[in-house]
Amino acid sequence: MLRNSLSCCLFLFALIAAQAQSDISGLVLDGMTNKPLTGATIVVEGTTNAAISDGQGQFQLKQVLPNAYLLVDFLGYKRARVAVNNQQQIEISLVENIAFMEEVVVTALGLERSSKQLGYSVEQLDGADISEVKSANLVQTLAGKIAGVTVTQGATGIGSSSKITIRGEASFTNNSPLFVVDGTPISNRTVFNQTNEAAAGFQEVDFGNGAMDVNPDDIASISILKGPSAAALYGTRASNGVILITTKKGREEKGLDVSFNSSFSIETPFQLPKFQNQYGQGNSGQFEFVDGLGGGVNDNNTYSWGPRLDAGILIPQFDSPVTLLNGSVVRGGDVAVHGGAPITATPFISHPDNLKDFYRTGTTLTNNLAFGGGFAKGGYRLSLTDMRNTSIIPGSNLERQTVSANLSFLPTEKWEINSSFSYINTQSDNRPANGYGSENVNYSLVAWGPRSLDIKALRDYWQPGLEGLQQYSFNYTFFDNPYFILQENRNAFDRHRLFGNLSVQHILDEHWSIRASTGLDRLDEDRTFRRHFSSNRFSKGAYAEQAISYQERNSDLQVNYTNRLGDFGFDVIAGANRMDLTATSQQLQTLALAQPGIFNLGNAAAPVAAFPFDNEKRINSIFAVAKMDFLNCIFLEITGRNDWSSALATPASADNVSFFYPSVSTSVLLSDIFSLPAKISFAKVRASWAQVGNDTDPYQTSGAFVAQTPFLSQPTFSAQNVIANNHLKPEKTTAVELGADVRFFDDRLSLDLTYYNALTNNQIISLPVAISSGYEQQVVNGGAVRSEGVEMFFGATPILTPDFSWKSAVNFSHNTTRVEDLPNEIEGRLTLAYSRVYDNVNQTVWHQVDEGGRVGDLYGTGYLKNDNGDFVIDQNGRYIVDNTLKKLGNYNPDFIVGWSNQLRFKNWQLGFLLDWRQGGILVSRTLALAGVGGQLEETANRPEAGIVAEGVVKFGMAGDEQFLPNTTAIPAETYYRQYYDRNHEENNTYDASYVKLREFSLSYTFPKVGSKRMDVQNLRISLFGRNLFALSDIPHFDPEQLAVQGTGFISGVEDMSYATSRSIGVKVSLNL
Amino acid sequence: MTKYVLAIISLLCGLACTKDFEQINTNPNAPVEVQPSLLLRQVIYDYGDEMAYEGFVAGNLLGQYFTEIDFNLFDRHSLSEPQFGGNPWPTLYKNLRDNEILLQQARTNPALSVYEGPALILKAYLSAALTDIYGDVPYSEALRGGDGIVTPRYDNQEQIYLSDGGIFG
Repeated sequence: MLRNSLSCCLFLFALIAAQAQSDISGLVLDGMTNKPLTGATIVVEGTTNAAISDGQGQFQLKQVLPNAYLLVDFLGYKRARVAVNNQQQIEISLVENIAFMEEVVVTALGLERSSKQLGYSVEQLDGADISEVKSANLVQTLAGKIAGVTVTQGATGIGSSSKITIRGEASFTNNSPLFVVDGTPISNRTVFNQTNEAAAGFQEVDFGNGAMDVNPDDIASISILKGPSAAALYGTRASNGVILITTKKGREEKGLDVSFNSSFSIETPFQLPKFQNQYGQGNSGQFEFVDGLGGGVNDNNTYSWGPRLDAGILIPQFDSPVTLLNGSVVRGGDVAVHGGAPITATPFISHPDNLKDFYRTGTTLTNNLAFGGGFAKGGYRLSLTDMRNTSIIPGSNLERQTVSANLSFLPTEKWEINSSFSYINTQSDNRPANGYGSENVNYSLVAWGPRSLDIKALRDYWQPGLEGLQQYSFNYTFFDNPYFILQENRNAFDRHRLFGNLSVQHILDEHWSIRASTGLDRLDEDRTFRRHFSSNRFSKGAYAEQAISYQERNSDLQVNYTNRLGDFGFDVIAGANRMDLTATSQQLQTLALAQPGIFNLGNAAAPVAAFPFDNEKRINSIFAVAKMDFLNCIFLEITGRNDWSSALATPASADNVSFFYPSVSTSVLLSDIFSLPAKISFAKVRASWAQVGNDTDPYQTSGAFVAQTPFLSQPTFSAQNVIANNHLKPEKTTAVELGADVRFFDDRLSLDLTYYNALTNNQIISLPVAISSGYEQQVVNGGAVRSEGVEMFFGATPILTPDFSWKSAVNFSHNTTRVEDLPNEIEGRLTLAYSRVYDNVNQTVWHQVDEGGRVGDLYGTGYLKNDNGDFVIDQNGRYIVDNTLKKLGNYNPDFIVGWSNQLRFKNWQLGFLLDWRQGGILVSRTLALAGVGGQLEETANRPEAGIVAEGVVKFGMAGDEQFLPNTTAIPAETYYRQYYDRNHEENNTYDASYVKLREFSLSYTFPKVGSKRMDVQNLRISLFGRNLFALSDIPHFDPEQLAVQGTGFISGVEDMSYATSRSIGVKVSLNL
Repeated sequence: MTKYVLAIISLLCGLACTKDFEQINTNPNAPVEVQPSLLLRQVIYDYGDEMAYEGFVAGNLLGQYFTEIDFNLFDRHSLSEPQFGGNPWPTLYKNLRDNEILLQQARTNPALSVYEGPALILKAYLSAALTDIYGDVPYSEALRGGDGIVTPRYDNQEQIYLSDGGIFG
């Protein structure tokens, strides 16, 4: 109020002191770098006389009073108030606004708002935060940067999906945040192929998440709306938060701006398993290769419990020579060629670097060229991007071309037309298979790759004369040659994606405006799965095609009314939306081919099976937002939305489909109301309350019949085993959020605290029911889950001089998501998901919850322990199996801390990002399998006398029992095979905590260079790195892991993952 | 004006907000009704297949006449998981359920009444197997999960055989 009155007084004073007016010109500069600032607005205080600085930072103003003041604004800089003071040439230096939270942020419906007005937590990243250290997956670049956001990378290298959640996982069915680009929702689905849980058929392949396709070079900013209050306006799908992406736009002033950047990085494996190199293939110290099928000595299995390596022993092996009768020499593994002829024994030696040599150096080359500019009535930007990645995994790659266009057009002052579109083509020749089984090379190379295996010897993967027919491998019982899998048995895809929007806004008068917009996200993807003859799972080859399409159309109509009555300001938006979504997928497959190497369904030698799936959904909505302020220092926002979702209708009735959810939020600028100590430059408190509904997938409200295995080629059908709920209600989340934002010393120190507490009830639960009812499960609404947490942002600028500055920011978040209530019918725990080896119930990690338990609790089995926590050992020196499920831990971290730093010294800039996740567990299949296999360094110690398992032996009768330390030794092979046994997860569990140096960049910006013809501006060279280094208890792989089971991701499980990559690169960028 | 806009939108929605929803949410991927022949074939085949496995494969595994080479703990007498055999309870109830749907189809649609006889015979046959193996089992309230009965009452064996609607009833 004071500030306002002051400006009024000055205005009056200016009027009274009316003097001769003159034209002035000036220059707007960055106070630190003295670079001209383009697009700053200069207003003569108290008038509507204004100008915008041009490409050289210059501006002209006509008829300015010599004693007037100029107000200069530029996004990201503090407003400057400069006295004209009779000058006609004015140079204005702006000081960067270091606390970026004060900037304008993009909120729901694309509304740009000053963050001080918001009554809920929104964090914003600008384009440079995303594109400085790029990742092929946009989601991955968010990791560690925002409090409350958890990102986990996928297991199959560059191109695999990254999972993102905001503020925990409070829903039993759907926890994905909504992605919105320029106001249009886009899909972030990961669609898996049709698989078979048993050890047969195709394994899961991850072709990436939908938001992966968004090009980092086209992003101007990303806002993260974390809570439901920020999200209430995007409707039901925003219940898990919204990632709001705004793309770069053309400039407002005339002229052409060309920018180019090119980055090249090399990737190396981040962490490979640590192996033992003392014992080779075999069991009980015995091994000899004859046919890889059990015809030799232990040659059907590939355990490394065999003879000592490097001990001068000669053993016939798969790569040992065989001399044929005609004198030619083939390899021992060329079984089909030599037909069992004697194999010459060769030295049994170690290959410590065999897996390291298998991975290759990956490369990623990204080029982006963008043209932007403005004309009298609008602006445009066109951008072309090409990304080519060659994975560290042999035979795997990813390529992506993006064309994007952004156009704004203002035909008259009252009309505005905006449009942005991106077309993206993503392809890969091969995406590696996930999970445990012969299609994943980690099965044959890590879990079951014997330490005597020379992987290089597998590079020539056909048996001579049988090319295309019979692979050459080190074992023919369980395993495929890894090069054969990756080079020949390919999972390719080609994805075309188009998303964009068109909007028209008409300003009726100073109070009323109306806006219509329509947005589209369209995806078409073709996948092919090729399997050659002699594959372990497909002796006669196989072939599958999967066609996927997805389309979402959103049409909006909005009416906006804005007014100011005295000290009160109003801004009301009312609107309606229709969302139409169709998703289809069809996999056609044959599990045998007639002629090898011909991959089309016409070559099928077995019946072609089809797995079609169509999905359709419509949501109609009306919504309203009312924003009010009092003196620009107390803000109140009320929202309401009503959705009608087709997914809640039944084939007979649409009576049950409507649901309403409101929100209210407020923000109070304490620093504008009270006079606070001068040290406090800004203080704000905020509070919000919001509800949001979360509907469900289509077709959950009615039962259907399911095709069964045909009998003598005749079809059969059976009713589904789930009782559908024809009165299904949407899940409902009610959330409260409180926060404060305080800044000190001219914003050089800032602290933002948020507490939230959200209760999600009406969870959609598949309740197990007695099969005597005729069904196995019943879909009900019930249960309540509370998600509670704190988020903190701490920013500091310890050093700020024209030559040297250091900005540092720490974000901290802690979340617990606890189940408060489950339906009474549930006795014990409710299973939400699981990850298992094949279809084996005993080799399963369960995601289960009980009342009072946390979402993310993992259950599995272990060995018997006494009350003291010691292993109870039996009389023969072995562990005792305990098949009762026990809680192994929870996969969610206790807290996450991200620490980012930006240092600048003259033209040099240094940035790095540390990501610390504390707590949480990870169940490891690599440890279980490669432990049982005797491959890992943990199994290197094999004393002749055997191993005495640490634990106690029980003596005496019940009630009078005594526990004495175990003294019975068992052979090392027996010991380790039992200790790591995959049927019992407890011993194969790691603490998943880590500290990771996630991003690093060092760059140099050249002073402006150029000739008469052409200026090169902002020429910048950077050295950057991503995923560089981690401190972790886990010796064998990246601690950041995500498993796949069927069609979903399973957190907290490492399931034969590929090495992730560490990337280091160089980037050049410039503007013309 | 806001009020009017809201009123107009509400009015439009009242008329159109749920238009076609029934049809949109009708599952195109799986049939809501199937021909009785598909159900009858399923019941006969699945019951035969499952019980043959129980009788021969599972029996021989338990008796250690057979062994599975891999991953199957049933032959090590781990009987907790019915998928490996040793517990035909779910098989019997699932087939009785499909048979019950078949029986209802035959009774409600005169054109399909030819299926009533086979369905009744299969019902008697499967129910007899069920009660002969397990004794007292849910019968009179069984298979009615769709009507909300998910904890059906156990009936004694005598009633299952002799009461109205029972095997001999």
